[in-house]
Amino acid sequence: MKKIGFYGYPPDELILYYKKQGFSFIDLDLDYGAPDGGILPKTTCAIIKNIVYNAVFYEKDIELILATTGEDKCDNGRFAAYTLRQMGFNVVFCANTNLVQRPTPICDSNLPLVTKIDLIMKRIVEDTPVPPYQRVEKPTVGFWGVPPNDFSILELFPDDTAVYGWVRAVEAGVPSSLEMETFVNPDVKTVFFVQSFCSKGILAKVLAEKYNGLSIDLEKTATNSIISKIQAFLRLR
Amino acid sequence: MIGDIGTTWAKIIDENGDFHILQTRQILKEKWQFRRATGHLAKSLCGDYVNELEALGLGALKKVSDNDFTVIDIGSRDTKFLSFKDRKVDKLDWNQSCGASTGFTLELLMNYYEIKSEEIKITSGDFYPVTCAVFGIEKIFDSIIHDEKVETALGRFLMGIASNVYDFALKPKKIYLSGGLCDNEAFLRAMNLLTETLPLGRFVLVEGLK
Repeated sequence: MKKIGFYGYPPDELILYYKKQGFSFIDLDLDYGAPDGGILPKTTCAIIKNIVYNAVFYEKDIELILATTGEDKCDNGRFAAYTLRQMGFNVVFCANTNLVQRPTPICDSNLPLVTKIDLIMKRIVEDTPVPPYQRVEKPTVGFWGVPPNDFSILELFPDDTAVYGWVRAVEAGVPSSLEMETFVNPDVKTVFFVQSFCSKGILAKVLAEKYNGLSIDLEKTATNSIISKIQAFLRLR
Repeated sequence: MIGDIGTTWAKIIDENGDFHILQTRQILKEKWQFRRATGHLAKSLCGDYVNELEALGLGALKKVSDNDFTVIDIGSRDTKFLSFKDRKVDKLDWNQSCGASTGFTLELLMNYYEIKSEEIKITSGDFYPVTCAVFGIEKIFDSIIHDEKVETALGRFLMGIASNVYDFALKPKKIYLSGGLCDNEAFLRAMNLLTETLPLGRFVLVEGLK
């Protein structure tokens, strides 16, 4: 049976609709090593490249694509949906506009940061069990942003890192909530992360200045200077 | 033995506490090994690697007694800075991607024109906007073709580099300078036209490893 490709956080009812029909899902946001097809400009965010080139690479396995194209994703998500439709994919344009918040226990837990973000993203479409954890009352550092293309940077953070930004908004079930996306604890030193060429860079810079955090962006994989900036910020602040 | 193994130069403190500067290519060729090291090419040469921003920060804290200060290190191919408030890091950045504020381009041009730093003419407000090192070099060549003296054209280029460095460090009232450009008298003159600039020498990072 073919799979449902998706990106962002499509509405729960749509995911449930396809689940009931027996479909499994493939998250097109992730880097599976699909080759760059040269379709998009070089100055395109790595996540958007993943979406388009994963779809091309897994074309035969994909029944249709649930494309988030609203405020819950980004303009480029909408343009990627248009591009994929032009290429002949069956694309369902959708937007997750839910504003009823759920609690965010994983973001505030003592699980490793990689596990936190991986779990939150997997749980969009799967009932992935959450390992035992404890709530962190006073996090030593915050990570704000989206899941990075290169998860290795997350390993630089301690387990008591609080998660903010779009990832937190996803766990709260409100990926379009600007209020949730811009929430951080002002008492927690925070790294504001974006993919290079992502429009969320505006938020990252503005919030980093407001809360005196560290704003970083990376394109595909972490460079030595990105790693060093995070390490120095965590150890010397 | 501890060392800061940069792109072009290796700054070393031996077990007797003596300071040495050697060409990095010699270190690599002879496969030296260090107890602790930092720098672009150090990872495979040491037991304990410390990243350059941390080494710079730790070294600056040893050499500077101010509570609030900014230190900037200008290497051959990169520029990095940290600013401290109450001796804790407040801001930091590292530019590894652009030659418009690094020492290599300047060293290259001075060698090419066989000119000493004392001979370079620095004038306040008179500089090329060096948005890119290659464009900056192009402006020098263009000016010289139009009969501008080498020492004046290089001065305008150098002032442009200094202006980039000052902007990159977020325009502090005082800068502590680390790296090879501490020995470049013209660069210090250019920087001091923009802000008070105090050289810390070439061993700040390696001092941070102690």
